[in-house]
Amino acid sequence: MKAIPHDFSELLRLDFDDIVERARTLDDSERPAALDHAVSAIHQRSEASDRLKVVLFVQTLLAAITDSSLEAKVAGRVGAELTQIITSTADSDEVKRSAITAVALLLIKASDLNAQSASILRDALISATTSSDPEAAAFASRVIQRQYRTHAHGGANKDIADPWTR
Amino acid sequence: MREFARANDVIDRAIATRQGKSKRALIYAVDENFVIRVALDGVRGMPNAVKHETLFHNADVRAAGELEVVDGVIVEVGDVSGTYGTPGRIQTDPLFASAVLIALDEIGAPIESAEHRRLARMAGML
Repeated sequence: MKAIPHDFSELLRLDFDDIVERARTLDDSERPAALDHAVSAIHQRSEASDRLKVVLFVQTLLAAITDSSLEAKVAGRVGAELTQIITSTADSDEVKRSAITAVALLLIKASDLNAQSASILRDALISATTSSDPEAAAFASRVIQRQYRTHAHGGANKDIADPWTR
Repeated sequence: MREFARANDVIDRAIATRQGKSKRALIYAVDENFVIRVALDGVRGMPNAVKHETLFHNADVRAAGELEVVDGVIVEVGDVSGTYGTPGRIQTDPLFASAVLIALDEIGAPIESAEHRRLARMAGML
């Protein structure tokens, strides 16, 4: 097992495949701390390729987490950072697409989201539906539709505060 | 046939050792026309190494990831490709799951029924 790099400089020297592999080697107990480190690292990086690598790391960590098991506090912190990326004018389309995937995963992986966090995520996804990047806009629409359908049928995420109603 | 298989096995183990993995992954990508291509994952930088982007010569794809095959049957379809940034897309994007399912069904690929149902559920077909 590889140690979680605290300053992420080592991680950023890896290529995308290796970053994904590194995220997958962490176990359940290490992933929340890794998510926290990654969220902090996003602030420290301004170059597009570095930001894409960190967000891809976050996306892969979230994908590997068991559904409905991520502590709400961690989910809230990660969600707040990701929504800033989705709504920013500075980040590239690639970074934003990765952030949208990560937000969609947060809705599945969080054990419980409070109304405020759910509302922030929902608003970010809604804003992404009008993105100038057609792929990102279409994907955000599908995430919203899927989430709404799941809630409408009382599906797997019924315990998460409904992000689609105020 | 046997010699060829044995030679391949030796090569696989040698590459797997360099990668620090117990075995080489089987990677796939599905293109815009729902054509699926599959190959053993190569080591980046090695001559003729096949990676996800190699499968369709850097073209955009509908889906990419890894396949787990046991006794000739696909038992797990994954969504992990660093190149295409796809981790988590099977769970979050119905079009990703449906693209894989359509592509595999089109060629009659053997898929374990539970995995077929999981993909169909993710694709919103069930």
